[in-house]
Amino acid sequence: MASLGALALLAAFVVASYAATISVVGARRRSTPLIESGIGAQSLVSALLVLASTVLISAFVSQDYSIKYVAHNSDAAQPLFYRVTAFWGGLDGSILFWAVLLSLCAVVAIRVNRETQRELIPYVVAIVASVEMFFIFLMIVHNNPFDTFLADVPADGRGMNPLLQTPLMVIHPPSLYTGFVGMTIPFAFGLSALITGHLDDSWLLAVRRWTMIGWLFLSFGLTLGMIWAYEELGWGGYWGWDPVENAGLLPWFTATAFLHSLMVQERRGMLRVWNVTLVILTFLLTIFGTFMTRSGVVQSVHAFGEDRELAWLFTAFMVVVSVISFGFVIYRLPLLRARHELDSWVSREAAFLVNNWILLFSAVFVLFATLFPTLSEALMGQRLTVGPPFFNTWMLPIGLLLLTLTGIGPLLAWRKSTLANLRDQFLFPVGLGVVTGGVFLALGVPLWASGLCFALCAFVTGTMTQEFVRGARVRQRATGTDLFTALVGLFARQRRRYAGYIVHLGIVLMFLGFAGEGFKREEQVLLAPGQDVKVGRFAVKHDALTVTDDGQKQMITARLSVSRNGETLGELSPAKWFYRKHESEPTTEVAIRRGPAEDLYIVLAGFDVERQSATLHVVVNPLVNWIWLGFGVLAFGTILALLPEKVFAVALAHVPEGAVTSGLVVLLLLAGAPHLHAQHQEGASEGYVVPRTPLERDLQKEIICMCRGCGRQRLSECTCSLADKMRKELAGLVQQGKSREQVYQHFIDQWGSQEPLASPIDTGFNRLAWAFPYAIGLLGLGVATTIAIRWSRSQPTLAATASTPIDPALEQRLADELRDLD
Amino acid sequence: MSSATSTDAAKATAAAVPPPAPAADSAQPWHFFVVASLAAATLAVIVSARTAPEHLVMLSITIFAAGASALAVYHVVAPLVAGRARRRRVGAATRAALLAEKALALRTIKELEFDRAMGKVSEADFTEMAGRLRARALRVMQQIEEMPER
Repeated sequence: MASLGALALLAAFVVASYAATISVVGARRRSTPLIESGIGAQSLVSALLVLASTVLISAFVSQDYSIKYVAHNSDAAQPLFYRVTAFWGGLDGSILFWAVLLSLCAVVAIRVNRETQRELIPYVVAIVASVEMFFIFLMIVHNNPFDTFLADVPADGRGMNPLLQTPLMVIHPPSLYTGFVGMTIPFAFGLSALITGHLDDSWLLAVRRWTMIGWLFLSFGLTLGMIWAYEELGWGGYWGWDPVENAGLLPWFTATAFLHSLMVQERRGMLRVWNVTLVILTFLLTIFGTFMTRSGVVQSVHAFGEDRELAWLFTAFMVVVSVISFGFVIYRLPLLRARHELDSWVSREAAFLVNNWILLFSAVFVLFATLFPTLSEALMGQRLTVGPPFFNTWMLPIGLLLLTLTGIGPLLAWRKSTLANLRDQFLFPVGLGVVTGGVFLALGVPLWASGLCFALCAFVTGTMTQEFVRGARVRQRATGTDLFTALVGLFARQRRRYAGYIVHLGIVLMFLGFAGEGFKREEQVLLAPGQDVKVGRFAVKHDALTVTDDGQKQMITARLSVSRNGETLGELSPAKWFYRKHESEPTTEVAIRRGPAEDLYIVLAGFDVERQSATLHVVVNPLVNWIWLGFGVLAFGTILALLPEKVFAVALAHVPEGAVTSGLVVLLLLAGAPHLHAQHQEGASEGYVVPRTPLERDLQKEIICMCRGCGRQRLSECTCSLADKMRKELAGLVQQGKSREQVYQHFIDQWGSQEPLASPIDTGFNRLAWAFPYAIGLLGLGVATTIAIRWSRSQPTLAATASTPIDPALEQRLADELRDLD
Repeated sequence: MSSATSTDAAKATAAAVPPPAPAADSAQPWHFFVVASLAAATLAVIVSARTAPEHLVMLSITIFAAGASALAVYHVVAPLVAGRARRRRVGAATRAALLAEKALALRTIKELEFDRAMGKVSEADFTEMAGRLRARALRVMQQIEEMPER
């Protein structure tokens, strides 16, 4: 079996090199047989990689431990489902999975665009085949998933990391990988357009759909990652700015920027260089993300481990891609010049420019902050930690700024907005935002940042509502239908715009969830049976501690009774699971009682079986479920935008009058579905130290656990034994009356660097970390302003088209076709 | 959709299909590979020493992947050995590409008209931008008109 898989990989490499070569030769000679043979070769690469994948999955299913990868990532006790998905659970298999996904996406993209992009297709095949060659090469020379034991074949495997044995982790990697490989397709088309010089707007047609698909999968993967962190890691949060989480976020920023700026190119012929640059950057960031996960240059709970040789291979590939891609951008600059000018700063295109600047700033900032510890170690020999407090300092205002632009952009006119226009468009949304903000202030909600976030959410919702209502009225006047039918008609005729607005509404819901973080309440308590604790409106009573075994693992479970405002809600059972072969890495089963207003989230942080006592971390997380709901709305909007127009045409033709209204009522009823009740897991210890003073509580959030296995969680969050030890130490220091600075210094001296601190102290070299965001922000602002001023000074270049003689019959046909589009 | 647009679409479809395309009801190369894969998978399942369903399913899938590889080999070789009649010329821009560009221009004009109806663009700006887009659409339509059928 292993030989067949290895042979398929070797054959795939040879065929990919054939596809790349024959396609370029075919394009140069304008030879259809050669080009078609290249397309066939791309399909063959795909088939061979699928064959290699099925061989590997078969090996997992049949427990063939002669293959090292199978022995390292599965064992006999593992359920069949997790044996199959172990295919992408380790480094070598994940590279094969990446390559096979890329090849399958490429086959579909080539087939769909074969006729409409005939000039570009041979180069697209060559570029995709080259990327595939890189990944196949990695497997052949460095990470072969078909390597076998020459002797001493183990009777059983090591088994998969228990934390990964969850349905969320089964879907999360494929989703992120699909997002990553989805971004390779736009890159291939963009670079092909640069190579061939066919830089009119037609290449955007092929690219937009793939970018949206990639973007949707990236968003899905990131959200699944958040849910996994929330349910499985047991620290009460969902986003810890872990380097590998950031790796998925970086291309998401640039892809989002591209999806907005391509509208400016379509409408105004501007941002042509910028768009092609964004496509290249997005691809490079997907490769960079893969590099970060697999090279070990950054420390992360998700990383596969340190591998310097792999790091060099990735670096070489990124350098080659950058040189070739940006070399072509420079070579084609004369063809990429903007056709039109920026007429006003108060215009839709200016808003898109600002939006792009902020998104790119976010990408550069996150990249810099993620790599700063590595940079500090390389230049100063000191390892640091750049944790959530540092990221949040910057990303909170940036996020709110982006949210504001989400509401402003749709209200502005293309070219320029007049004062009357602004008054008419902004009055209702701004009014709604101000009133909402005022109400929340009156209720005692602090203005920064939750109050402001709620006000901005109201502002954006006002904008979207106004857009839907006004758009429906315009359509109602044009077609004479009722308001709801006109509303559905908006999607049929203005699909991209209104589907985009639904995506924005999803973003608003997610921000509502983020704002809930400001009202989070948590307690850490040691409870004996019969004792209880009150957190917010909830009371949690510890009934008993049970120890059970199901053959695969031993389970320690706390039985808890939960009530809210005196009303009994039922039982929750947080637990710790000790898997065989992984006893030192217990998983924590979080007990969650979900609700639209708040989640009750309980972690069994420690236990004493003899005394039947349990240390519980009880968290009340307000509005957290709105984040997942927001993603659902975002995905719905993106899928609407991806649907072909004829779907809506069929819907409009066949939906009886009144059905839309009935449908809305059903949807509203469904929205009132009962609360969900879930229970999940994470890793832990036996003696959680509960903070006794506000200083100790703060310091538990400012100092990280140094176990290197928990993903740099803060002491207040990590439940491993080292975190226990560090918390005890911290409690002792606070009891001795040490100040915050003295406690910092104690841990710095103990660990030989500032690494235990969640954020670097703002002195010396570290000042660079704090100054860099200002510098890059100002630089980006300067560049954007310069470009905009240059555009605004350039002379209009129309008239040429106006003076071209036009056939009146053709003009009449255009008028007819435009009328028929209604 | 207007009759003109429908005609364009029909022409595009015609241009996209290889000239001597076999009749839809005749045997296609992939039929052979599917049948061969089915036969091979059946035989493998019968002679296989393992009987657990998951093993047999994976065995069958692996054989189908091998069959797909064989079909892909055919697609690599066939264009190189096919007669001249099956070969298509490489044009500067296909009718399908021009139609896609025209559709983009028309859609953008409609969006602009919608913006005007919602009071988001002044009359002067609308005239200038729509004029530009109409000129672009007309230029593409002209190219489509001038394009030979093959």
